Amino acid sequence: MDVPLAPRVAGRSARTRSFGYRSLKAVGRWRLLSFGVLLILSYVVVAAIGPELAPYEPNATHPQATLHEPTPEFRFGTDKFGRDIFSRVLYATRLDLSIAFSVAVSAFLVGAVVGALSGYFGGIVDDVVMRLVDVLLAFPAFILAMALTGILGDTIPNVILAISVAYVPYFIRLTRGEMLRVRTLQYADAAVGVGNPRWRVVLVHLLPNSLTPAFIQVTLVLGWAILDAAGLAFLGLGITPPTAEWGVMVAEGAQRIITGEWWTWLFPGLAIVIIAFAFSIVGDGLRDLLAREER
Amino acid sequence: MSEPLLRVEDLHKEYREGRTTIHAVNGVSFEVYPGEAVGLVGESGCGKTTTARCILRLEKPTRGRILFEGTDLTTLSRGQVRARRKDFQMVFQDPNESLNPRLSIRRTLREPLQLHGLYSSDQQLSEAVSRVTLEEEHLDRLPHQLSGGQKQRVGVARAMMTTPRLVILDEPTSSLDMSLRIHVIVLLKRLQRELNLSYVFISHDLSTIRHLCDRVLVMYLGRIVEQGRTEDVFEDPTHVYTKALLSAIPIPDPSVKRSRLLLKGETPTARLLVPGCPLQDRCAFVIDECRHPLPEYDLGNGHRVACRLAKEHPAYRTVAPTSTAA
Amino acid sequence: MAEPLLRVESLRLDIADHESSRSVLLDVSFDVRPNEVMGLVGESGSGKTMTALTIMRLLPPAARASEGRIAFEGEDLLRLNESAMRQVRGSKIAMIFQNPRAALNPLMRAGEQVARALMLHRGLTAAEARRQAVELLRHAGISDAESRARAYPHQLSGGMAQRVLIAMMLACRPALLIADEPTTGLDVTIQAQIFDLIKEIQAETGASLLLITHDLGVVSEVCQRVAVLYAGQIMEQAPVAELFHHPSHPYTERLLGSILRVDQVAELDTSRAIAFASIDYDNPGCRFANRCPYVLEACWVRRPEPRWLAEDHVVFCHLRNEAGT
Repeated sequence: MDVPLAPRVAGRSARTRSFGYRSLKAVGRWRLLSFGVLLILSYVVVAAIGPELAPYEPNATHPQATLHEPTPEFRFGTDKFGRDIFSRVLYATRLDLSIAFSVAVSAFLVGAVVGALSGYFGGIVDDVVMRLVDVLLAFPAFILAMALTGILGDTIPNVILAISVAYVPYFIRLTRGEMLRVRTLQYADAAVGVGNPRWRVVLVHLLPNSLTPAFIQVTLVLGWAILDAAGLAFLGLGITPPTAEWGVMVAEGAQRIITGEWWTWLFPGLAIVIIAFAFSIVGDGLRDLLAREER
Repeated sequence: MSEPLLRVEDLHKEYREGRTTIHAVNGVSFEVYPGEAVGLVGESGCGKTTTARCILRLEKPTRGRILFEGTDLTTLSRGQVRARRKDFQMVFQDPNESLNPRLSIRRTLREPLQLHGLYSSDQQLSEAVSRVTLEEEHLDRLPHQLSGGQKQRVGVARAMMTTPRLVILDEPTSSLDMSLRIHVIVLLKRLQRELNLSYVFISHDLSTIRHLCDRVLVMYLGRIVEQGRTEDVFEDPTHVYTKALLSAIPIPDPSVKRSRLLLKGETPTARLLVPGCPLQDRCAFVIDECRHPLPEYDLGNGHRVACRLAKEHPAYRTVAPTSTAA
Repeated sequence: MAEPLLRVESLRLDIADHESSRSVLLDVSFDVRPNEVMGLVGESGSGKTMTALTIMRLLPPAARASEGRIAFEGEDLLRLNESAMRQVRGSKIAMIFQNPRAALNPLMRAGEQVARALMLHRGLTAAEARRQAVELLRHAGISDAESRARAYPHQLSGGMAQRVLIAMMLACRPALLIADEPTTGLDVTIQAQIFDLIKEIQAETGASLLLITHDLGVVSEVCQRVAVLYAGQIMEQAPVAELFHHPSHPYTERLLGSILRVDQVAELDTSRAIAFASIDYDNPGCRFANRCPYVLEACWVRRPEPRWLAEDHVVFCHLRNEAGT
């Protein structure tokens, strides 16, 4: 008696259809997530061995071939000084990814610890921290990073510092919110009850359980940090020529838009867009994945 | 009688909620003797869990003394309390929430030993799991790999690690199926005997209390309204609230027919301190006398009742010297 | 014997996730007769809530009723189209839930929700509906009904919210009321009030009640007949007194042996209780086999045939079948 009743019965209901639809979407999301991870991994590989792959030194000039079109010899063409854009894009990968990772890691570490402590202890410290966070969040991260770079001066560590400061508030907010939830769970009391000192309750028991939202944010911030670093460089802040950096290169190429040497801005620009896109889809995918596990 | 292990004296706990004050616990006093299981029973909002949290110093009481083996815990610093925590432990209500999801059972059980400098070998952990009828292989699992009943056993094992004198159990069976409940109760009884523990067993489930506890305290709106030996309170409930509570529990036996004593309305929140009996607004027998501060009436054998009806009880002799303040 | 109001016949419900599919209900059959209180008792994982949701056709998307029928007033509810089913829900079968506050619309005042039900099911005008809504709330035991009618669900206690749901149900005058653990999370004194109210209303309106619970005390006090569900299979079905006094399935027997009674103290004896083990959904025979003290070879192989011990008393157990032949 294996009559498939349900399809006929429930096939009309929106619920069943939406289940099929959702499964399709779920598969699609998986593909997208894996695709994003693959892109990021290939960038990491390039960052690691890029200099080996590059045919030329990043700042080596070829006076005989300035503003040369892409050819087998100069795969992405050359700029006005005759530097090989392909080699420069490869070299820049290491710099840009390093900046992004440094920003994400330091903003995460500072934000998670401050957010966790602020959320756990509450009181005046929490009030002060949250007002500070509100103030920082009132500015768009990029504007804040611009102002800070302007104040601190144009060096790579300063760029990292400025962008990190701009993103710390996000991590504080996320971790604090999660901490407020986690600290009311019974294992928080149980940890106190067995005799943990308060620092151990926070750091060993509650903090590791409050990090999930911040972890997801890391992926998104990685993408934003690349955009910010490049954006600053494009505006002439932070990283300055002749450093091989995607933003710097786009800025130099931008002067050539009207004169038609498209390769000077297109390839570094693509490098930025693709990695930012990859981080963003991986971040979204992770969020969906973890949200589903919570349920 | 021997010295009490725990003596709670006139415990008060108030919370500020905006402009109003919630009187969660309102003048609770009782003792727990060594080797004794005391049931603390009442419905939601009666203050039983708050009382337990105050005893364990998970919260700071507003007023009152908590004497544990003669030391007033309320006067100790946080560090001094911590050093004594090996002697009083707690089993929590929700097994899905009371274990750190990222720690293996091994680490969860080892932690109390390490914190109190009692850890010597993994042998202790194997003994601990076998004590609660789990297997050694469970040690390397994470909480989500265990069933609810198994997790609750881990919770029990954790509370017993440091061989405490007193264990407070906060509704440890309420989230378990009835077929599991009896196993946990039997386990708790056995551990109590083997480790010579005192229990404070908090529950709204009177049948569990009846089978586990020697003495029972009935709480309503932050006060103890009736207390005594389990047998006395269950066979001879005297406070109107205790009677209503007992008569409300459905009996799983169709041949038993009982009349039910219904209370009017719902449990109010403990916002206003009213003088007199906390049940006055829901009680069918309320008279003017109930609205004034009322004493506890002693019916012998420690059976004490804060209800005027106790005066009509045959065993009533004299007004107890201590009266519950309003 | 009167024609049953609702008849569930060899119902099978599968729930699938990414990896696997599991029958959470297998060959579930029972009926509810006019004007009776039928109990469906089981522990967590028994599928009792799923049974109710299948009858109401409110299943989660991953669930699929793959076999059986649910006969109600001459129709198979599993084959009704969605709009016909909507007619049945509410006006003929109403359900009250475990968490009453979640079942109410949080943005609408309590009285308004009852009034909407009245307008929908009795075709009253808005003004008339609002007036009667207050009446119904009072009928559901809410003393200050006028002021409570203006309250939003979050301002109501759990017991109060359950009364509002009961008032809504009164507005619909259903023939069958399904109550899924209606007092879980409520205090016992409130639970007693709610059950008294439900029984009163059931007697008054002549509706049938399918009461889903884990509490054998509630079964004993409220129900006339009861079906015992374990791991999605019916183990035994009998009139309440018969079940308590002559349990015939080992599961029922052990379940009754697990009870701690409040009105008497007994020696605690886990050897008469259910063994501590997880539910075995994969056994092709009787799913209780892995915890059954009397397990036979056949229990691992095939599902036992029903054995009628009396007119209303049926048990699914190889042990009884062997003893009988």
